Amino acid sequence: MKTNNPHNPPRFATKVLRWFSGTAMIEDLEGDLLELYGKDRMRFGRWRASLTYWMRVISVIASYALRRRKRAFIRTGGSLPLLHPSMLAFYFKSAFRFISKTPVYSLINVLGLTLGVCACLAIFLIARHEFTFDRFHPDDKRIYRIVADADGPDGHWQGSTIPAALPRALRESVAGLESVTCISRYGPSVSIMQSGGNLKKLPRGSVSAALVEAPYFDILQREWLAGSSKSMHEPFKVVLTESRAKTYFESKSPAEVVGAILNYDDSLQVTVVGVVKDWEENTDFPFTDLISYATASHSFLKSTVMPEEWGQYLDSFQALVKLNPGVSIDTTERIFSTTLATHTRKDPPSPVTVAVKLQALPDVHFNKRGEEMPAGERQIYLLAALAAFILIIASFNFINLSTALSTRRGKEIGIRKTIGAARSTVAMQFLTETFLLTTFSVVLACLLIQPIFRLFSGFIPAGVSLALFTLRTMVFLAILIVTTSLIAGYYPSRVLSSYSPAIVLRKFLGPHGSRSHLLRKSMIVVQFAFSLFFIAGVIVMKSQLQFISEQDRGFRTEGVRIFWTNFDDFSNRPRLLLERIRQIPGVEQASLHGGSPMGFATFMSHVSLSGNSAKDVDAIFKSGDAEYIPLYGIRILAGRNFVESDSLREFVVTESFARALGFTKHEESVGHSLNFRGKDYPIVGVAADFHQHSFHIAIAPVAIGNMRDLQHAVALRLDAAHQGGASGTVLAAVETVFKQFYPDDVFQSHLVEEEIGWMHQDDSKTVTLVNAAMLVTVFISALGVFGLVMFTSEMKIKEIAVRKVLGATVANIATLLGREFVLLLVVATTLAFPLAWYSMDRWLSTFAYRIDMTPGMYLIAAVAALLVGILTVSYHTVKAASTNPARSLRSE
Amino acid sequence: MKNYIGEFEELVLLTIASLEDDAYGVSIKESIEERASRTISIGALHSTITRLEEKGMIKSWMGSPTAERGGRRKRHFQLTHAGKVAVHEIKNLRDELWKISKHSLALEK
Repeated sequence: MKTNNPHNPPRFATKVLRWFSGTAMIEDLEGDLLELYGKDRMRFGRWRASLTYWMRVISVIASYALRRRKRAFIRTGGSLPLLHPSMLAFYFKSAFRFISKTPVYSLINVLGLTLGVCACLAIFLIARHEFTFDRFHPDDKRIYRIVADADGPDGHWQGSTIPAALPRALRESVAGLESVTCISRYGPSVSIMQSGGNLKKLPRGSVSAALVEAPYFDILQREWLAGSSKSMHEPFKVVLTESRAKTYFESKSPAEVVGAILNYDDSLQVTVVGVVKDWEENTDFPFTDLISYATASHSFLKSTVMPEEWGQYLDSFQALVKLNPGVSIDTTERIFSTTLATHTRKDPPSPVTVAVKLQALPDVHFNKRGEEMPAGERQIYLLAALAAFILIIASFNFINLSTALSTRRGKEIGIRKTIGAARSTVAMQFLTETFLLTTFSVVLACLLIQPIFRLFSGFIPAGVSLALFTLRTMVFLAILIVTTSLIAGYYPSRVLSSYSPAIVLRKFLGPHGSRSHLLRKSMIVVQFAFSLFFIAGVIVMKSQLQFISEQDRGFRTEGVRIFWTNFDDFSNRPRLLLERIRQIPGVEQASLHGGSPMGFATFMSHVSLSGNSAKDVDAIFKSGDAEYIPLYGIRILAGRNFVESDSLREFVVTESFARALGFTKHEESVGHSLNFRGKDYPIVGVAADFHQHSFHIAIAPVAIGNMRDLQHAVALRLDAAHQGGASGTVLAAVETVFKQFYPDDVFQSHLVEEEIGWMHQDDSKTVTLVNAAMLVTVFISALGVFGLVMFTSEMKIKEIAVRKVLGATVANIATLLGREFVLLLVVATTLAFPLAWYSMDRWLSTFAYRIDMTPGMYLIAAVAALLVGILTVSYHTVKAASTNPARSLRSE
Repeated sequence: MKNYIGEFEELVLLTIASLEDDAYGVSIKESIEERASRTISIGALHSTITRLEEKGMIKSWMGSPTAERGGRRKRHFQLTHAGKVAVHEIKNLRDELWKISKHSLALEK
């Protein structure tokens, strides 16, 4: 029997003992424990022996004997392992000591890092939001949006839609499809007869509805609270989301809502057949009222949904397909394209070839198609790069300040090393300091993120969640802390821990190595270069925006407001409304038109001179009554304005139109006729050119005429007494009149100037962003310089005192301390300005009407940076220079 | 008295002395447990030994490894001169006290 093998006590207990003992000498203790274990085992058996062994191990760990031996070992020149608990405690203790001893440096570091971390965190939250659209549907790997690419003589074109009749043909003739559905967006008004007998009405624009086929619910699955999609193939059925059902029927439960009646646009009576749970996740299919698709063919919607249409690609239409597992996408796309081709074969064959494509569901959010690269995605990558730059610049401050400070810490390191600290221990100590400051910055950033989001609400997509306590965010923050600590702390900890105690202790100074000097200087240059780049960028971009707002656009907009009438109303009502509005006191001029001269609503057409179809022009047609030209102050250069009429009789064209028709002198075009929609109309006048689009797009030829079918907007100019703040009463009167004509529509008016602002919204957003980046980089760089000057003025305190005694002025001393930074700034300009010039030129080249960059702009940028620099440097230089030399020299 | 020693310390010192050449952790522990019929923890014993060593009353050296100790060496202990003086002083103090209080300490029959 092998009962008395003394050598196998619980191995884990032995490990615990050794771990706690560290490098202390415990051979005899282990021996005692083993000997006792062997005896116990023979006497009491294995279990009791093991238990006693454990208790003895604990008693030894807790004993004074072990503590004494550990301390004795360190005293005699040994060291604890790098990550031993008591070493960790030591790192934290000395880090806290150092931080509380140097509050200003720590504050500078924390401020800079917090800004950087804030930027990173904000971008992370936005990206988390943007990258989670439609990634929650079951089987979403098999769901695709059916889209089309076209190739023709005009180039390549990408669309988000297909002809509305295609899905049915696919369902009937293509194998391998689990489900296909059409989705047609629809924004009606709703009226609901509520239980109390009162009619609840919701205006247009407040309802996000869609016509969908029954398979929609197989593709994008929902949780049913009541009813089902069974009868969704019948006309006049609707499925509501839970929240929508609450809005319509208030206190009714989902089950009670089923069977209720809704009225869309006053004429479409539908029955609720089901209530589904709202999606909490982000989706690009946010429809709340899902109306059965068959409703379209049985109602007035037939003309807008066009379920039998093969030729048109409607923006309101989308189709989704769910493929069977394992079906090849390429093959399916080919079959779909062939199906489309057989149904749309033309005689003579069209030069355009259309290829049907499948777009994966998660791609739908970013790739709206029709743009080179999904704008949202590109923007996120750009922002992420910007945030990373800011964090790196903040880390530069950290590196600079800690290496600069190392001179002061030479003594500390020397003594630590003399009493036995290993290089790795010193390095760990500095890394811990960095880690603590970074962690503190991250915590601070988490607290600041909400106010920051409020400040930049214009850039944050709606619905971004600020929840920080999710696993993914926590992991991100942890990674951020570790990488930032390493970036900011690795180099300083290497430099600091490399000091030889013999050198630093003899001189009582850190080795002033030229290597770390060069590094510090180049990091400052990089910071300055970034700041200068952004300052120059902001100056150029703001000049361009100012140019846009001040440039003569060819028409006047002061005090002109616009509101829309009903787009489906082609009756005489808008004109009667206009007559009533003209009578309102305070309204100086009013015009019924298709949109302002520079507006989103444009109507383009091909037009030719009567009798000479060779001279044809692609022109924008602006539609308005006879008041249009006077109201907007468009200048007539030749001929006259067209006269008021019931229908289109005459045209006024612009100079470029006349030139495009081939007239060298624009006035010669007056009297000729235009062939428009198959009829001839005389040109009665020539107007000065004006802008129709944003400044990115060149001025196009324009013809203005009274095309009544395009007139759905009213422009009004208030008289001088009622412009600005006093417009409220007049607008209220206009709204009252409007409601008499269109009780169901929403009255919303805006200044034409605002509409022009929306056209340049992306540009002003870019400028705001660059401006913010500029402020942050300048602030961080200034912080860094501030810290460094504070340090140099402390280091040179004796030198300054001696110089002062010998007669140096405050200005001399300020120059001594500030000179280096001015030099670095000059170096930075040579790096930053060519780059800024290049990228600003690229940005400006996206404009058809742009300013020219002048060296003056860059000079201003350099002077601005210099001023900020001088301001930053001056506090400490002046303080240092005005100290009484007697005080700084007293100790010598 | 410069170096005060406690009761347990005295016990350990005397046991080390009684064990002569064989005084090490386990033998001291077992010897005390046997004579005084009390259990002592190995941690407490080693703490006391450490203290005595710091006070300079015992000295130690490493012995040779044995099989029952898994090849670990023993640490042997021996009283120093100071240690011997300390126990002598205690004994003298006690003897004196015994002498004067013999009468009152007499046990009743």
